[in-house]
Amino acid sequence: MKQHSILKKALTNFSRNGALVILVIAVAAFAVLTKGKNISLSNIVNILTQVSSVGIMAVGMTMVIIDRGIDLSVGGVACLSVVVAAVGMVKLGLPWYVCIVFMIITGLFIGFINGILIAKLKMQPFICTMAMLKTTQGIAYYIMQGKTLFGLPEQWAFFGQSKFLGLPICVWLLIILGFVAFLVLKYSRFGRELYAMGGNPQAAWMAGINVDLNRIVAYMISSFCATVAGLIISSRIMCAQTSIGDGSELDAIASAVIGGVSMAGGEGGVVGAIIGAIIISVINNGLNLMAVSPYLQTVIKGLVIFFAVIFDIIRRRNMEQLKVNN
Amino acid sequence: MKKTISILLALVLMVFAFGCTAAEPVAEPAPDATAPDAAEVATEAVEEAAEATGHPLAGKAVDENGEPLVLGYLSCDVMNDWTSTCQGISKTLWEAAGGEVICYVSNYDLALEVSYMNDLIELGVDAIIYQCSDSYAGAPAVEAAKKAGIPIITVDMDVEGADSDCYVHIDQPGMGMTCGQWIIDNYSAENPAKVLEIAGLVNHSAAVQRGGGFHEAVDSIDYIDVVNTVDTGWDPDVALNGILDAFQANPEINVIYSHSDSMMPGIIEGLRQIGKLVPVGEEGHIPVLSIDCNFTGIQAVRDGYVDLICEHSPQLHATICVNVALAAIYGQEIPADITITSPVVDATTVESPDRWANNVAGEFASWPYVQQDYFPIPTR
Repeated sequence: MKQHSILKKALTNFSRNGALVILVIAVAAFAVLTKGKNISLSNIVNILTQVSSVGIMAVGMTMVIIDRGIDLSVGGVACLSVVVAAVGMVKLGLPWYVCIVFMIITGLFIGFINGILIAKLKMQPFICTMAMLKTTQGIAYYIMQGKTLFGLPEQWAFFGQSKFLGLPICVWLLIILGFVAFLVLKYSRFGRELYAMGGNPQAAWMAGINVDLNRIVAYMISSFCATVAGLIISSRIMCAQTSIGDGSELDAIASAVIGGVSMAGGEGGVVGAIIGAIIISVINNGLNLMAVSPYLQTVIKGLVIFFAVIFDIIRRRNMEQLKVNN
Repeated sequence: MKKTISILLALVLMVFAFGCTAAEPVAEPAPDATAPDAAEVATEAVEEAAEATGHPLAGKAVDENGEPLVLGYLSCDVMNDWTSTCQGISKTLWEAAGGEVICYVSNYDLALEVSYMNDLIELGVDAIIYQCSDSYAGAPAVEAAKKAGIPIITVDMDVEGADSDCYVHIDQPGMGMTCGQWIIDNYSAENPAKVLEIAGLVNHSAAVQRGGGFHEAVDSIDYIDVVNTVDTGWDPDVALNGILDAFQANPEINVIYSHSDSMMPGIIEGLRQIGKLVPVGEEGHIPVLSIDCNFTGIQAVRDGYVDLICEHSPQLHATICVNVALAAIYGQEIPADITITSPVVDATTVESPDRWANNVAGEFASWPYVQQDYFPIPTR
């Protein structure tokens, strides 16, 4: 009987912390395969640096997915906001801090538009944000005309290349944004209402929750996070290119889903999403350390996401079963 | 009532249609023996225009009636320096020649590419320059143009399964071989090379050929070891992560070969972040070899961080394509294949005005006209 209860407790913990378990397994597996190179201090910092931009995007994506939505425009938002800032700095000679303000305004405005279209006009989030992705990318391509913009001021490198207490600034940004988002979701009224909206939108509305306003705010947060991610990427490569953010929406969604955020809404959190982003980075890093053929890397990454989602489905069934048994 | 109105409307439409098509024959005026020939007038106008503007192509893209010739430019994308410059220069040169240009971009949508080709054919363009997104999928588009009798010039990527009128391209494997040969010449058994290959998009023909040429040169050499190949998808951010990861796993890497300067910002910043960005000639320098010689690459050579770049000039490609298109329209013979030899760019040749990247700051109209020996400006 005691063994059975221990097993049950282990299963419960396992079910609740699936993403963490996957992360531990991935790190351990690559530690063996790379003979410990992946767990060296410098490599851990390397992984965290690489995860910072996707992780921040995943934080914003989590907000939207909890509300049963999706935001495919994050890649375009990152690209366009970087282009706006770069044009301001290089072509117009504006100070870098003013351009950051313009970046953020651009991102928030796009998020606001997304929110209005989805909340008020009842557009399908998938279609609306996909259209916004094309629009924002198109505007960025038109401004840049396919060229790369250089000559960013050296202060711009601060966000992607400087360190504080041994950790890169971009990692600190991830930690701070993740922590704030965690507090908001867990302890604020907005967070509780978001979970309610995702769990049962009709009931949430009938309970008097301002669904439209919360939805708009969620999309604005997602776009804000995409803007910060774009800032980090452009700071790391010290230029503005139209490839910035390309395809990153899928990485952000995969991170959130692997981290336990349910596409059905009402479930999951930013900690899981960040862990999901770290899992993807650990796999990318591990495969690069092992010099695995690039042809195989894509297959392996796809399979890992595939199995992570299956694992999550099994985990949820276990949780349901445990609830029923209890 | 509704039915009656519909029938009346249909009758009115028929009357209008008949009226428009049945024009009275107009008597032709008797030929004036003293009036100049129209073709001669147009040719004279062309020559006057050439003298007036000073552009070598002035008046070339104008037909005998003085009407502009129309060039269709179909590209897979214009999202990078190379493709946008090739399209931009082609358009600028054709317009300087007095013609008009219709540009379509498929963004790697193969079905859309065929559609756009059909649109260009419907519009009755006089020639087409085509940069396809996929060698095999481009065949239907080329066949359609040839069936319509429109000269079609493919640029940069060949089309398998269909022959364009002319294929203008650079020796992609040759550029990879040139980079490989540099490593062979500068390393030895006593000083072996540990190479990090920064690859483009794995299934893209340019990446496949550049990588293929490089490996053909170095794979059989004992003292050269390609320790890692990082697939970047032409993305500098991915290249940066690849640099960090690769040096983590193989700190002994002592030379980097990149398929393109598109990734150069990531390579330079990656080396800077691990403290290995050392100029050429100084202790600890890690040679970087690359292809394309766009603005990032040429600046990196100028800054002393890159040893060698094989130039892949879109300006030269565009200049040749325009000349070939004009010759095809004039009915002249054109070669089936024009292969461009890539010049090597290093610290000694970086400031040459022949470098296309030295022009990128200005508008395309301000770029100097490239003198080349691959295909001359045609004369009527």
